[in-house]
Amino acid sequence: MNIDNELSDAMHNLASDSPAEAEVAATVRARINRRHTFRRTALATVAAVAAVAAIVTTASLLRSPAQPDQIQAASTPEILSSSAPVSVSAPPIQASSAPVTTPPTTTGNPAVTGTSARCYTTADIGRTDNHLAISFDVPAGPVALEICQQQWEEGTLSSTAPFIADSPAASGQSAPNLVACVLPADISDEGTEEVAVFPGSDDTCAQLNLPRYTG
Amino acid sequence: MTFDEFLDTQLGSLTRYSRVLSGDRQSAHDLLADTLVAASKRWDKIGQLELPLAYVRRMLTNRHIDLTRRRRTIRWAHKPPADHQLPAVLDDTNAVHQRGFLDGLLRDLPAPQRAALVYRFYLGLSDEEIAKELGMKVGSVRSAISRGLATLRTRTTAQDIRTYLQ
Repeated sequence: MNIDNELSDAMHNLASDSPAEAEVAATVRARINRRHTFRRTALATVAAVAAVAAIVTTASLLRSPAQPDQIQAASTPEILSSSAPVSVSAPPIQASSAPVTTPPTTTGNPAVTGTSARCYTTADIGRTDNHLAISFDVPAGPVALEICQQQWEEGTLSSTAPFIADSPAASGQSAPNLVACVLPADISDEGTEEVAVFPGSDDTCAQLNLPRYTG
Repeated sequence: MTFDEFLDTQLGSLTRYSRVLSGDRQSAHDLLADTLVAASKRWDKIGQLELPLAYVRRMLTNRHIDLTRRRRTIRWAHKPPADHQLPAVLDDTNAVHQRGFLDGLLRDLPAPQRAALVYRFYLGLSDEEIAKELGMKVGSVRSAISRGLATLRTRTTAQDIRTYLQ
């Protein structure tokens, strides 16, 4: 069959469905204006802070032109002593932050209803180049593990850089042992909890401080 | 050429190109807006180029390839996907069907192959022109087009061609 001749016409049909130019222009100009406004505001703020600092410094110098004893006294022992309460107050800060770092439960079955998932090639959520984000037409949770396994077997995913192949060529390779965890909403692309499938074992989710997906 | 002059004269062609490349209107809007905002930051240099349109188009293409590389859409069903064997339906909304059909076909291609096909069949550029604009070797362009077309052929039937691409 021959689609070459029709492809050009079909693509021009696609082009006829393009977004409105005025909308794109408005978006671009608004974002550029926001950037300029932000820059102007930031510069004005910096200038104002610098001016205030200069005024305060000048005023303090003018107010007490010759009190070397006080200046010297304040510059040595009092600073040291005043720093002591800071170190004393450190433990309560650590204590109060402790509940935040408590590992989340790894035995729950979070209700993940989104339609996107991530197939990670390494058990590392800090990188941006080691995972494939996949959108489904159905809720992703129940099928994510299977789809990610398929991506490994098709050669799309690899445990070594560049991790994701543009054109999977090495089909037939076996997938590593995979485990599904739940990414919190603030990390996921969708702004909701998202299933993330990692190569690893039963304790991989706990090591990543993520709940395990068991749905 | 100022950035505003560039927008006034080239936005139309870039909007259409972004639509064909990205697969849907919203993605096209976002992709183009992101690209143009990025281009505006370097416009003092881009505006001096002989062909700023080609440069911005390349920026857009590279951005699309980078995004697509990390985000794919899979139509999942517990049976072999049937979206490439759409029933032949000829009606008043055939243009809509045609767009959906072609978007579906192109979306499943690796982004560099899709970009090469769009450069060839939408922009009408030669292998050499595509290679120059995308900074690729001519052989790589030919390979991408050839493989992309081969994939499209295996996923379409003669009935699809008659129904959706004519």
